[in-house]
Amino acid sequence: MTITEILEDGTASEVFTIAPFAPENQLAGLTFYGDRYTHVVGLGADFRFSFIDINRLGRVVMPGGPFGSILETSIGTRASGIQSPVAFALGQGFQNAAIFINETRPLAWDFSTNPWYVGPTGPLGPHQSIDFFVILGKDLPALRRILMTLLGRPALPPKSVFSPWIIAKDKEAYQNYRDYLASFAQYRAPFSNLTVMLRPQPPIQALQEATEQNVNLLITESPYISIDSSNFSDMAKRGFLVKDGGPRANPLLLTYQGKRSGMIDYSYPPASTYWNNETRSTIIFMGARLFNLVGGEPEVSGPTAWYQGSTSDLIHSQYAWGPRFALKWMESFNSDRQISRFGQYLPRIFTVSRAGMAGMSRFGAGVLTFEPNPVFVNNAAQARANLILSGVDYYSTDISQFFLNFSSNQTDPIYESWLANIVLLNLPLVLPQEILHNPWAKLNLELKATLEPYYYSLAYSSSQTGDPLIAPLLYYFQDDPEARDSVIETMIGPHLLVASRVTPNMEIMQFYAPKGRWYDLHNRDLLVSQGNPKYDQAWSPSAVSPNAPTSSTSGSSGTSGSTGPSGATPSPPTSPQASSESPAQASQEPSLDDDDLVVQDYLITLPAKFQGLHVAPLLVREGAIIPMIQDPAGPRRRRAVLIFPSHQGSTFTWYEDNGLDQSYRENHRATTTFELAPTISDGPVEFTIKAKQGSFPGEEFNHRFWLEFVGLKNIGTATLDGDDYKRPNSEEQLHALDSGWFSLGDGRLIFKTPVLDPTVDHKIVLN
Amino acid sequence: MTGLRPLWAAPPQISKFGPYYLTQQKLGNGLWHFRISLAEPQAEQPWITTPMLAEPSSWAGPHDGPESRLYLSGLDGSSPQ
Repeated sequence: MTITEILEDGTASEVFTIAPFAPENQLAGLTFYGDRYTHVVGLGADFRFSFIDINRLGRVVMPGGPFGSILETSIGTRASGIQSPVAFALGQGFQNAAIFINETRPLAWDFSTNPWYVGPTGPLGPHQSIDFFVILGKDLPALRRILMTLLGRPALPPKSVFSPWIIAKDKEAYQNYRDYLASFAQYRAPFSNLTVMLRPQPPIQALQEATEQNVNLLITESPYISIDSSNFSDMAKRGFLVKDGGPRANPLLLTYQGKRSGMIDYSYPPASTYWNNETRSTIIFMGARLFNLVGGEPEVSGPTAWYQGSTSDLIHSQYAWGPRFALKWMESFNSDRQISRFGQYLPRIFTVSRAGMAGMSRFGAGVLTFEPNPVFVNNAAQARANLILSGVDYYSTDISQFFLNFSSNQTDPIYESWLANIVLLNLPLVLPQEILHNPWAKLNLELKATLEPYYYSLAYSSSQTGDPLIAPLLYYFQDDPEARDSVIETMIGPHLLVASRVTPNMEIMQFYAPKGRWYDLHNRDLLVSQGNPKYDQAWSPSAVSPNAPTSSTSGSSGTSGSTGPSGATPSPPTSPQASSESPAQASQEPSLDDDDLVVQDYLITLPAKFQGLHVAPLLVREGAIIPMIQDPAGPRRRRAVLIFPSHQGSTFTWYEDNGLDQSYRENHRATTTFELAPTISDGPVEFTIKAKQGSFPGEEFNHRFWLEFVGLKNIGTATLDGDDYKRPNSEEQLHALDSGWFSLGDGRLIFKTPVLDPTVDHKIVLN
Repeated sequence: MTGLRPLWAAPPQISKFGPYYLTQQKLGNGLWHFRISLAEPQAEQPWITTPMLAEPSSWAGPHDGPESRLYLSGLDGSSPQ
């Protein structure tokens, strides 16, 4: 059948031609195709890092193993895949459509053939059907918003997700938790929160000490129940443990931390309820809010695992349930979504896991994967980009395992460039304790801390609209062919662009910014991008489809060419070393040597350092309104707003709540909307602070703002609500005044407002 | 998850081609569900319940933009109208 879209002007455009794939009259999958497409993105994430580019056209994408996920390394530190079966197909300009396959079994996708193919790597279930959704919309953001209604928009996480999570390994210090946990206080500033992950996990009593020290503990939770524990026999008797081979079989036994153990059957809702009541509720009562889910991977459980499921489930096998297991585990933390209980607001819980599936975001869950090699920045960037497009917004990496056997002299240069690349992109930001004392770590962490209000406002917006916090360039610049294939350039919200390809010896970086006016956030300099001039005349699909079958490089080594409609079977798992460090793979990694940079004058060239330390270039788009906390660790900690006037005008809403619990869902939250009127050349700049909506207990700041305007022309006067304000001779003098304004030169102006009446609008006019 | 149909969903249309049933349903502006099956699907809830999906009552939702329109062809040789 052919699905045809009728466009606004009445013309017809083919979306997909679709047919069942049924060799030997057995329904096995779906073939689909669209002539108009040059790119296919989405499909979750492949953490085998088999790819270095975002586009999957011309590629074969396989699950990690027969159960959809697999640990591929002897040291057990690799994540391999998050199945989110949505393919966004993009054509010229804003031509686009998406297909979501409503199937949780491991899926194989083949975009190297015509038609394309998708289907489970094994048999279909008892329904013997292919269930799918087609999404149409004016652009990629519209498609993703509809997808997020299908999967559920991300729950607003606790604010601690936007502060560092420190991995600490000083086992000896565990003798005195109080002093040990207090020692982390030095790292909290400039952030409002601090989370510590202790390895190995301390006794649960440490939670109380941590709460008293105002430190969050990341709790590791496994689904395994030792046969020696008091819960084992009771849970086995009630059928709350995964069984070994069938409904009447004994519990499946695995070895975890040296002990024979059963596994909680989270597919069975009463088992989740039991575990919440018996154990987890106590831990949460003692202060646990953040959980690291470890274990339960289907390849570890093995092929005989038998899952109870809910009453409507007809399937029970590992093949059918293994990929879903992590999702049901995440659901068990946040299944009821109650706001309060016994008169107390319930806490926001956030879980991270290396496994997962489409839909996990609505349960307040993110991905914490292990990065095999921090030098392969493109591999990680494409995995993050496709994961986010597929509906999973919170993603982080842990590379501490990579450096276990190296000295800090060897690792610090790599850590420095790695941190510069990921500090603004990983949510949460997971860091090894040993790097925190370095000046480059402090510089990058302070940058992240100043932007905390921007991130948190985006997170709330995301929970309401389904827009991502972090997105590849193509999300906002879909009609820019150069942006389609950008990997290292990433957007944070609609206004910030970070170029994350810093390498240890790098002094300058070349990167792409779409056509328009941008500002360097580090020094506020204006940068005007002309875009890539070769695309000025006409869109050239061949020029932007490097993965088209006829010109395919071998970037998917180990994953391509072995399957498709003629035989959809999983490819043999490859070792992480082989897949990430093979000569073929290494040869495709863009050069990491600055000397090899090919100068292209349409690219932007900026220092990869600030104050002599590595930072990723960070651009602000014209029209941006960026809420910040300036001097976040210092005596002049203050609320500030960066404002970049434009011809279009813009708005941004600063969102605040207590960052802890569900009270925000009962209106214990505050929003302040800023409006920047369109600015005509040499005309006045008008900026309105709208009346504040709502409030919540424990608000840190009064209603005063430091407004920094950037990119101004010929400013002579500045007024607030029609009144003139003092104009001191220096920024230092401005700090001593209650209010006033000061011109910094180069088109920059700071206006310090007095404490404003939050119930009415206020207008600043610059003439 | 319940089988509640989104308020703005159109009734599903079921057609047969060869040994297969095709179910087609507009669930909201920009969102369509399809199912190809050997067994006749239930008209009340044509989609399969999987844990990936949120409550159907939240799917797609009212939309401010222009209405998306879609036509199927090929099952009986017809062309888009």
